[in-house]
Amino acid sequence: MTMALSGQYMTNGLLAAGVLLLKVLAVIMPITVVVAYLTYVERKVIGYMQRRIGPHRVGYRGLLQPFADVFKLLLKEVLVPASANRFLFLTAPFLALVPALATWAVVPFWRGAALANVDAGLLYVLAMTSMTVYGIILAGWSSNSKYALLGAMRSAAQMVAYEIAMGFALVGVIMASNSLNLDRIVVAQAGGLHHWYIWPLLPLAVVYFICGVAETNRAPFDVAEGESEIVAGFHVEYSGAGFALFFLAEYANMILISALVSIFFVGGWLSPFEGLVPILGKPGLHWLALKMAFFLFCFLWFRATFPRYRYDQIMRLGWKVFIPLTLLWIGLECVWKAVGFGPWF
Amino acid sequence: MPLAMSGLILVALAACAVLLLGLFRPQLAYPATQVFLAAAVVVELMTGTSSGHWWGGLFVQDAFAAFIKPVLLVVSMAVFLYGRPMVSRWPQGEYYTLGLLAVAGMLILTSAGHLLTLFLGLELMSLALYAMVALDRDNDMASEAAMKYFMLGGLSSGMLLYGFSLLYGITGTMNLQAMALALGGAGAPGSAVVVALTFALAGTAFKLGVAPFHMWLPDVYEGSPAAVTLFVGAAPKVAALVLLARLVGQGAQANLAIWQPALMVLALVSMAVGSFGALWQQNIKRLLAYSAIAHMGFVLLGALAGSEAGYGASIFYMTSYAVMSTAAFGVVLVVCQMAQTERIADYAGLAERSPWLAAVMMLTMFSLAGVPPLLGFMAKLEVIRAAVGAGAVRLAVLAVLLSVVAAFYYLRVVKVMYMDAPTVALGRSPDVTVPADIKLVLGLNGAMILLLGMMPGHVLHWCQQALRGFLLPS
Amino acid sequence: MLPALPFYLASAFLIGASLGVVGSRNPVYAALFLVLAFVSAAVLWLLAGAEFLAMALVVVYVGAVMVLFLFVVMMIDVRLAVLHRSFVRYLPLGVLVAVAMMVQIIAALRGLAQGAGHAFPEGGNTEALGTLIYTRFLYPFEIAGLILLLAIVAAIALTLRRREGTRHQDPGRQVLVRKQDRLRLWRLPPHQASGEQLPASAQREDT
Repeated sequence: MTMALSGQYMTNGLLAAGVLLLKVLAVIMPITVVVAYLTYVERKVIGYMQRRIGPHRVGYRGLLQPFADVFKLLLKEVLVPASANRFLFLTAPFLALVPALATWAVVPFWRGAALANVDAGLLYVLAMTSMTVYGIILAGWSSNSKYALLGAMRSAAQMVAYEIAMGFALVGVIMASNSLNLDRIVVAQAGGLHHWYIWPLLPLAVVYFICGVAETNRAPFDVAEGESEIVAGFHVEYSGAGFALFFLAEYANMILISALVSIFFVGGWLSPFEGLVPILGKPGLHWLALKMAFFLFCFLWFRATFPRYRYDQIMRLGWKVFIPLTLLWIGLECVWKAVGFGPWF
Repeated sequence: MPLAMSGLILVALAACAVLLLGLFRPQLAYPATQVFLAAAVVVELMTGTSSGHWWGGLFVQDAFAAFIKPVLLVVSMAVFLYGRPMVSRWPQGEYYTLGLLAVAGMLILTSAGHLLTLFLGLELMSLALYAMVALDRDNDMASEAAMKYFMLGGLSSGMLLYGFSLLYGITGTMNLQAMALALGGAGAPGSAVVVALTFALAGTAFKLGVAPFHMWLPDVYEGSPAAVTLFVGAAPKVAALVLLARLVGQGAQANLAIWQPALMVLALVSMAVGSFGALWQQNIKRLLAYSAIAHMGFVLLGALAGSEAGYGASIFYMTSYAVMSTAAFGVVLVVCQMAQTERIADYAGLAERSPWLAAVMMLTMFSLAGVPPLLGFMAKLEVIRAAVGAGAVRLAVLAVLLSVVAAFYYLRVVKVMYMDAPTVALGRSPDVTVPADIKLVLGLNGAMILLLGMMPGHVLHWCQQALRGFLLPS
Repeated sequence: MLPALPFYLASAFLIGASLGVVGSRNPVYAALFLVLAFVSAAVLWLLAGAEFLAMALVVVYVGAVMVLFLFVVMMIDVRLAVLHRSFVRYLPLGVLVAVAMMVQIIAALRGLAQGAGHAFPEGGNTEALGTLIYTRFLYPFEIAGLILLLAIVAAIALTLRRREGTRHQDPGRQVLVRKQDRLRLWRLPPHQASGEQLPASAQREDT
């Protein structure tokens, strides 16, 4: 009897694990494909902005270019520098990638459609994004190269500085929605375009997005790579698959930040025409995808437009501008919440 | 919000105000600090009588707190006054902000009826002290002292917290009164209580500077700039005794059998280490450090009785010690400014050079040695009486013998000041005029040692009054 | 046993990582073991239902404190051999003390195993925690704020050194710069050869 019960328990457990695995794959596979094509779009967008064509050789208009890149990177030899710390050197790319993918566990794609719809989802997001820095630091240290170490140091200081402003920006969202659950944060923004948090929390949204750009080490905050001063920063010694993993992590993080901005500030899967236009007003994944596409475009746009920040300017912006700004706005929001401001609070 | 909290809030606000003043008007930081502290004394005296328990014992105002808080504030005021010439080169806003926050921590600790506030107050005080020791950054000795202080202070906080967590685990409450009841009840497992109290006592002994947990004390006293040594050696000692009284006296009052022997050992070792250790010290601050260790042993003599009268004697001893050590360090500070020396041998000829200083120092040294009719004698008498009352007659006899040993090195300082020929340091030192207010307060301080020694009745009575109702009726 | 498996697993990781912190010869490894220890502790809290504490532990310690720690450890050059020697010298004594303490504590606390301790409420407790902190425990919370203020003041007072002669940027002054501060127009006689001293006849033209 007990044997049968425990057997049933086992099969149920296995079944649940299998379903979970499929779900995880259903999230990770599309992300990987999007990453691949994001690189393609990046080169195309920046190309057109600079009056070039961009990749156009492999496949129709270069559409197969990402796959060519992937094959190239995977077939290359993985080089480990002579006096590098081998174990950490090979682990670091995974440490960079794992948090980038793990955060997706709580991201809702539409109502209730998250791998784990947990109550403290937002805290989980903060915890995971704060761990991405380890891959970079360890890569920089284990490479035993001064450029890599410099890049890692820059990255560490930068991440710590911007994480605080990022957290404060999210405090504003938490206060507005009364929830730490990502699903409920989106639901709290229902009721039309003017209910989105981007309006009352505009400075926080801007700060959050800029911090997101800084946290992903993208231009104009890419001093951790800084190819003009420190060659390629933390991943200067990486080749082949290791480099590909860092690449994957960086782009997965970009997509993640876009998704989070969409969820926190512009209504996630909600339609901007909610309650106005019959069919267009319906919520759905496509709205989230569109919003993410816009923010991803912004990432590329910034890279094509802005020169790289100087390091002390980055620190100044983080500590002396963003943190006071977010604190000020949180204070203001407290007052608004107390008096009941607009349709939001 | 309880009215009795006003003094604490005033001090906390003062810390913020002084921080800002330090940025814009550094020269006003010191007077503002004194004005705020004086105001806090007045507020404490006015509101201190409104006793009660708030928020489950997080804030407690009783006669004990009402007595201790003005003492802490007044002692801190004197300390800031004596230290002013020395700290005038340091960042003013920061120094006085840290000092005020330390005072706020002591006030919190004094009014704590709950493990949480007990610990937070203690940490607020300790962290401020570590930073104050290191504040003069060009002074390598001070940095080293700060490092030692910080390391061992952190260790002791860890032990204290471990003891707290065990106590919470055993009793399920952090309120000291409820804890006393739970620990006294039949359900408390004896061996676990022993472990918990051992850790708590060890942590407290560290903070109090009682041997064998005294290793940090001589180094910190010697390494710190004299102004900070004075601060560390006065009010925080009173606060540490408050910690002992609240935690062991109130929280574990039912477990006298566990901690009384431990306190006896601590007291004896401390008096012995302090008395013998000071004999061959050449540095006046180091000597006073060992003297502090010995005096903490005497303080424990009163506390180990575990009765209200015993704690009253302890508090009286500690208050007297604060007065005496403030006076002693006040003179040390002036000499430090005058002759740039801390060697005892360099005090030779102080009586000729500055009879006023030498007289105050002599009075203080006699008092620390326990010579009648000075304050130190009355204090010793009270704690020994308490110890005898608790049945620790042999310990009391040993205490008297050890205080005779200790008298030797106190008298040596007097001998050097009055009988030895001046050395180079004091002889060729430039004429540094001692500010009139410091002279005046030093004189008052010395007068207190004399007058309170001759007429201790009032203060003693207050101390005994303050402890009325401190323990649960058994 | 089976439901408690995650607990034992996380505990084993915690203990192993803690041993690693103490035992590692390389300070960077020690710091990384400490990170692992924090993560394991967070998992333990998560298993106990304290998800806010678990996440806060990860955000604060793993995400910020340990990053700075690693930052420092990577910058200083720690002599591994010297560290190792003193480690080996004190190892027997340390192990002896540790074992003795552990045995005593276990012996003393054995009777405590059942009964004591409070279970966490089912499900989310972030809200309950917040409510408690801002109502019943507001006073200690404010004291914690004072301690943090103190930490800020102390850290800055101990580390900030205004060095003379550094050229740092002041964006406020940069923004306030006006044309007159940077640009001067001189009227030069047209026949004067270039590269020579400005002639006395050159006149400042008011802009």
